Amino acid sequence: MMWDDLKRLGQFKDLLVTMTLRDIQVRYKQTFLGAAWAVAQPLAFMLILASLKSLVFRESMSEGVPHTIFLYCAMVPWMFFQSGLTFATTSVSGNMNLVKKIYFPREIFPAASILACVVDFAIASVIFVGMMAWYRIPFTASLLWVPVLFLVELVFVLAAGLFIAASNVFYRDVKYLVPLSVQLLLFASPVIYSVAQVPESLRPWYQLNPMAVVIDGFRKAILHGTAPDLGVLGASLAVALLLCAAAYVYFKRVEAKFADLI
Amino acid sequence: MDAILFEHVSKRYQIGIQHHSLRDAIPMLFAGGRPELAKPGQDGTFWALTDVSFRVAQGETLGIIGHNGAGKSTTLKLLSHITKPTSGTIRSHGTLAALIEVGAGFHPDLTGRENVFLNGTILGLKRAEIRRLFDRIVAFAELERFIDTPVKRYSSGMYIRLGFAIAAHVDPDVLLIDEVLAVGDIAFQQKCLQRIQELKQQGKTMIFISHNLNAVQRLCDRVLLLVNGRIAAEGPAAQVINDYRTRVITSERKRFTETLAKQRLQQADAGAVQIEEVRVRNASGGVAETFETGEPMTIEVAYACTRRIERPTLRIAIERLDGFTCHVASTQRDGLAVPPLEGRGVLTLTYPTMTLLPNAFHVSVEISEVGRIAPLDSRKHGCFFTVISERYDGGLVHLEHEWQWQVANGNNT
Repeated sequence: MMWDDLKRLGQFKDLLVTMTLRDIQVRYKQTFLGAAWAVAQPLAFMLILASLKSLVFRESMSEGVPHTIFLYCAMVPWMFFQSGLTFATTSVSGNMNLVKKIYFPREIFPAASILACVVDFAIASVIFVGMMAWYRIPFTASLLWVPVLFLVELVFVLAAGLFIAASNVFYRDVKYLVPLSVQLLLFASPVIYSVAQVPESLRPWYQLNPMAVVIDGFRKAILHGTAPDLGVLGASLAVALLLCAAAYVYFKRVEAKFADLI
Repeated sequence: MDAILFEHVSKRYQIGIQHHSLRDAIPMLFAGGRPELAKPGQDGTFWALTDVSFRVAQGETLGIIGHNGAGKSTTLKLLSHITKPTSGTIRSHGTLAALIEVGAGFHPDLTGRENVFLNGTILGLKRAEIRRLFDRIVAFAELERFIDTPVKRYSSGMYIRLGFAIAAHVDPDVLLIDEVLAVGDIAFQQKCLQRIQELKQQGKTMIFISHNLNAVQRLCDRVLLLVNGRIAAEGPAAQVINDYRTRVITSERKRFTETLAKQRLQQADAGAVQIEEVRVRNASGGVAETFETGEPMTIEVAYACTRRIERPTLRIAIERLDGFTCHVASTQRDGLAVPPLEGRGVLTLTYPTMTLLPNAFHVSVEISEVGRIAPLDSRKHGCFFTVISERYDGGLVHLEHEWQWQVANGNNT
């Protein structure tokens, strides 16, 4: 059943491309800064945190690298996670005029809005490469882990996005629940602190959160030039894939009811 | 082979009760029911379609007609997989594209060009195909100058033109068309009809839903009449359309008799004369509702006066059901002096050959007095009749005509 759905989705890959382009075009149309917003967001957040560092953080918390780049390295994947979920939430419910009039696989809505966020991720990454040069962080072969880590994150975001987008059609509460959950998850992920600060005994539980594994992996591969823990990364990938399959099955099951609701 | 097969399809909608917040839904879960089924549906459900079965052969054009709310759009939504039937099965072969509400997929902030790609892929075109068809689409829409303007600055006419232009270049096996002709000016409507005719000639299977009965008759091989979610009639276009018109007349008549009674009460004192009844009689003198083109027709107006009316005038109009006036006969314009009216009586107007072509009509009558502006009494929708005909000329009236050929004989030596 899921296989048939995926095959049908394959026939609509041009639509996925167009919808992704639409989401990118629409996002920054009529904004003065345009795509610069993709940079402004993580940059602003990072600057706020960095300026607090003398008050709150100790140097030992940033794994021995400059605090600014320590934060930015986590902000880039985190911002993708946050914006991907935010845009996916209303991707179906905000397109009801289309849902009611024309049929195509509805997963295209959340998928396109998440893929559109990849562009922001890419722009933020380019800035990051500049920062790496500035702080004289060596470019090592471990950087090749970054695409793999990003893939794990993408699968996880797709899973959450599919589930949230479908639920929001039925219960608009979801729209309010998502930012709240994302904020809570920020504290359960090593964005403003290091994994090293998580007690050893809690570590296995902590690593159930794929975002924790992904962000830690980003720091290891980019800042420290080491490979991520393969066992943990593999487990995260498996968890993300499983969640994604479950979310997809759920999405396809409730999809037919979308058009009957207002 | 059938392109589309509907077997005992029913569709039920939930109306009234919907759970949009978890606050409503969570107690329902504890009550032991699934949220959408939690409350008993007797008054909360609505059957949009009940046990509908039909098939469409490949290359055939099927028309679906009926009142608003008869289930036409639901049928189309089911066909295009937008929604699923509550029971029954739907089978279709080949690719399918729906021309439902032109321009539904437009994004106001994007330019015409960007929207061509967006809407085109939504309708199932590949990006490469759109690139190939792009110039033709823009030319069809006549929007060359504005194609890089955001569509939110378009006039509604431009919007519709671009929407239809894209849709008209989609090339599916089965095309579903819903009321696209209700929009746009007449010239563009003609262009759309022409394009639909072209697609038909190419052997495309089509399902056409419209209130424009003339267009349905012109385009469709077979017509389905839906009434309250059930198939009320099915067959050749002319026959089913006539059936539909008869039903419309029956319900219209009922509606107007009711409103008439109310009007009567309101203007009772104004009436020096009252139009009591309007009826039409056929050649043999019987009161009739159906006439054939070319037959004689007599309209009778029965009146009752409360005072003597010295110089009465009478005006009788035949109007098509949509309000279009087909003919007006007026004693004043004909230069006739009607003798004074007193008491009760009957005025008649005879058409020796009534040349109207098949459609549904009603008769409006006005009795006035020379020198007064407001009529003494008037009756819109005084009576109703339909016209049928063996032959169908096309148009409003049959005009006597003859053809002549002058063959230039090329072999002549």
